[in-house]
Amino acid sequence: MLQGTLDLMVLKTLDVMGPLHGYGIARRIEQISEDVLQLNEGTVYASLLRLRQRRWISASWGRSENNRKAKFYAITAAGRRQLVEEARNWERVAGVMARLLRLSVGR
Amino acid sequence: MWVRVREFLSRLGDVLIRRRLERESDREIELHLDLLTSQNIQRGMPPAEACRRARARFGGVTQIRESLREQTGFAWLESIGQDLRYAARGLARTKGFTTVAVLTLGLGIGATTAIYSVVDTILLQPLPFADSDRLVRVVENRVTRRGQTVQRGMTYERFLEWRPHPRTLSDTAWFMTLRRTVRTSEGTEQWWAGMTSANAFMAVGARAMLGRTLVPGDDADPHVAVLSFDTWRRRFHSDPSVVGTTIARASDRESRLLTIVGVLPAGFELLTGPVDFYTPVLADAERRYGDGVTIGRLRAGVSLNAANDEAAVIGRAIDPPPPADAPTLTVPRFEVQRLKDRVVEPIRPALRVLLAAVAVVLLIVCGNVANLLLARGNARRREMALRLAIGASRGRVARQVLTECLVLALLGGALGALVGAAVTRSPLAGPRSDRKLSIPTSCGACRFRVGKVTETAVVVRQSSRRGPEICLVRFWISGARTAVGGSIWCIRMIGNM
Repeated sequence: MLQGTLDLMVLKTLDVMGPLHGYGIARRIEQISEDVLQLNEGTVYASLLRLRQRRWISASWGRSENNRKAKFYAITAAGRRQLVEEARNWERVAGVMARLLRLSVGR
Repeated sequence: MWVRVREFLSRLGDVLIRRRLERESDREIELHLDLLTSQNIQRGMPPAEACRRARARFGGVTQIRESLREQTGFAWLESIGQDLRYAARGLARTKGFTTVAVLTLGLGIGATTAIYSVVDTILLQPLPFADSDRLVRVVENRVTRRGQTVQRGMTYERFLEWRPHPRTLSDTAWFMTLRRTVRTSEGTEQWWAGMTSANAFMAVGARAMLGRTLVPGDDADPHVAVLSFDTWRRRFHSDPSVVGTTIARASDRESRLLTIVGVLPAGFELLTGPVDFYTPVLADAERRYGDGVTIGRLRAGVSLNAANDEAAVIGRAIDPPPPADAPTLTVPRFEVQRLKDRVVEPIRPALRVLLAAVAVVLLIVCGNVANLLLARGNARRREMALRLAIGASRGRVARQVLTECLVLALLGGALGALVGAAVTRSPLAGPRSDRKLSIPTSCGACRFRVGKVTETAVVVRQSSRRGPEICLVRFWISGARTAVGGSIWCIRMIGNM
């Protein structure tokens, strides 16, 4: 997976779904990607730590579905701004890639 | 940019609560695995299989925890502390090895530092004068009755005669040293007096520590004196209000009071050796002084050769016609020499030998310590293999080894600095000669040496994790590199001479 892709996915998931714990984020990404991406779910936690250190998400304690203590993550205002920027960036790169690939196919 | 700063601050904060953070992330991981397992069981898997699948899905728990740990706070910093403690323990355990290695390094580095400091002082900053590269000394060649050519300083009269002529030199000055009787409270004493043309201090760019030095106007009223630092300390008990008081100079005919106008900084002397006080040359025609030192400063853009050509012309111009029977002078009468060359010349061969010794000492030290480390590394191959086997990365092991070498080199370097300082301050370094050398221990030299030795040590230690053959090859390569580096350094130094 591309560098920073997972961070972007986590940010977007939190933006759409509201506060989630790590497991929930992993499930959501799995659901969206429909098994296209094979993800080691442990790496989600590295991403969460990184995002928290950059203050793009915040963490608080809550209760999980099976009523256990779990850390819930929520996107911050700075995180939203970052998300907008990253998404735009991503689309630009994706657009360029798409055009490029079409060109080589059309030849 | 701000993101980086924020991240840095966060990590800094995390350092304080890292144990709690680790506990929390352990709990998160546990919960994650449990939830995955129960989901798998719901889908109808047997519990053991469900647990296995969950772990596979999550990825290596240990690796994840490790990467989280590294990302919290500054793991590398902590591991450096760990390595340092480990290295200290390891070195303390093998006392024999440590002692020998540190002593070897210490003595080697100390000796080379001392020698380098001496050479550095003499060659690179040979004279404590401003812009000393342009300072020259003018000597007079004379021919004796037996036809031998001798080189002498000029007398003051000759200096006055010569002085108006040179166009290539500025700041021409003259001085000499005499014994002078001084009347003190305890009777009379013989002091060394520096008799100078009043501009001598300006010519070499000297500043007074207290009061002022002699200035050109003092020719008009020559009854002034500037004390050397030592005299001021010894005979005037470092009295700060000494300026303005007088010393009584007793001469054969009359006794004169000299007003003290200043004190020179510690270690300062003109080229004629330690002197108690300096006073302007009396311009009365009756007094005759012996040969003194004439100095000058090459004007900007003037070469030494040009100054010499001019000196030859001046020599012919002010030369009295020689008696018919006198042997003729075959060389120009006046000669201009760079002051630095003049000072360095007599000790040059000795310095060459010393420099060669430095290179050899350095090589021996590197060789010895490398051998010691090699033996130790061989004995520890099992330990290294074990470390690699239980999952330490090669980089991590190398860093630990490097830390050990660094600790060793630092200990050796510290000892070396002490030894070097002791040697350069001891009487050995400053022979009781005219020019007493005060030699600061050169820090650059010490750093240079420590760096070289560490490099050799590190290369050898790192390679000692491989087979002994590779190890030997690497040892010789690094040894050769040190030798080449040392030689280049020596050649450069000799080139400077």
